[in-house]
Amino acid sequence: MKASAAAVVCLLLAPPAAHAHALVDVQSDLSQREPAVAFEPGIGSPFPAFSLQDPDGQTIDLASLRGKVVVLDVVSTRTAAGSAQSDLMARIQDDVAAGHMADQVELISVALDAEHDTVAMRKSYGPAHGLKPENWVLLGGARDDDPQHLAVQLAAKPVPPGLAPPVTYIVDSAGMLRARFFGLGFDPLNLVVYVNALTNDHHETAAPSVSTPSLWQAVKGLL
Amino acid sequence: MTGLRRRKILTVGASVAAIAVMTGLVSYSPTLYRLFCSVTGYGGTVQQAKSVKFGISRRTVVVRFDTNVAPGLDWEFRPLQAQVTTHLGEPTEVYFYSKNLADHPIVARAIYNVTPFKVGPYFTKTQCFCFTNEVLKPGESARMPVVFYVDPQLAKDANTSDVETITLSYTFFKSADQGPAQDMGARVSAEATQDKALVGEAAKARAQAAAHGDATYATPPMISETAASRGSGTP
Repeated sequence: MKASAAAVVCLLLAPPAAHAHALVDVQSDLSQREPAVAFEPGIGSPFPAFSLQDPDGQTIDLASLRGKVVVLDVVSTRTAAGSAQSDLMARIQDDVAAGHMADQVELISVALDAEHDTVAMRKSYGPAHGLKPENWVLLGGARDDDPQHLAVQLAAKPVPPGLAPPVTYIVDSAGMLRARFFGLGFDPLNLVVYVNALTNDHHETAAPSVSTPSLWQAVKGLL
Repeated sequence: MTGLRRRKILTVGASVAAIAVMTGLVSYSPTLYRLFCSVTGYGGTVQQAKSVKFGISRRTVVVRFDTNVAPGLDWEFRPLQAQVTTHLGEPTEVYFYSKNLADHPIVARAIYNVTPFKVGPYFTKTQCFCFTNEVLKPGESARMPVVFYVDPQLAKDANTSDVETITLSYTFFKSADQGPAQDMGARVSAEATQDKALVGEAAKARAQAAAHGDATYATPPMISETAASRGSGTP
């Protein structure tokens, strides 16, 4: 009996040490390991709402991505920098797939150059960079200025000293911006580890829904 | 006259008693409400008595283990048991085995997943080897412990109460940074000591309860290895 109580006490006392390698630990570790990452304070700020279209004309907005962690970048597809960005996104996609997270993570690139980024071009762009359609999409706008509008909103966020675009944004399953990875020199695995920690973080985004008995059920139970 | 006086005294006494009882109820209403909530669980209050009694629940789940090595990493990596049957709330220790097959040291990092995804909020690891850089020297191997428990609330959540099997999956990636990293063998030994007490107490509780015929804790063996297991047998 004493041992039972001791086990329960151990379990109750465990929480401070529980959740080994929780998100906060990963964040702390990456802050030292990855100079290109900037974490948003607290649980982050809401990611700017957007409504864009995939090459098939389907509308994808922020609300439709709820429940998934989103990795998003804004690319200029006809530049060498944009091409390098997409190659990096392809590496991230490969690691996400290897880590069995494809169902939980959505990769999104926003094509900035409406004149150049026609539907046909956007359809062929992914395969050219090894990006697979399972959980990646290149979005454009129903109106020419839609992608630019999002880009302007994102650009309004201050860039930390010493860091420079391009930026890869990490948005959690509740639509909050959690981290920004700057430039092209960061280790994609660092991003994937952070994304994995986010997919496994259920403490701020998804509280367990245990049903509470009604007052009548509670009183009835007492009797 | 005597009868009238007695009735008056009774009336005054009853009134004083009623006022005293009401005053008491008002004074102790927060305490009584908390008592009511703790007994019934009404308002989301944790049921203390129930928690203690069922800290380690009678209900069991099967936890299966899956391991993967990402392309480019020359490591062998596998669970040392295919699955375990564990009670909800019971700290459970399992082991994984990794070996560097290359002729040079390799630094790697692991990530993990718990499926079905809806179980995630109820699956807690108190020790694991994920997210941190681990190094294995050429030909070196390590036996890596993971300690976890499944929250008994799993059985009370209508969304997860039907879950009987959970899969814990790990994937090791080769790190871009192949610089100095913690020696995996040394680190996992130190961490294992910290969690031994937790798991040991739980096992002791089960053993003692079983010896006293408490059916709540009479369970199948904690770790069940199958012949088909990739991790069966010794490394």
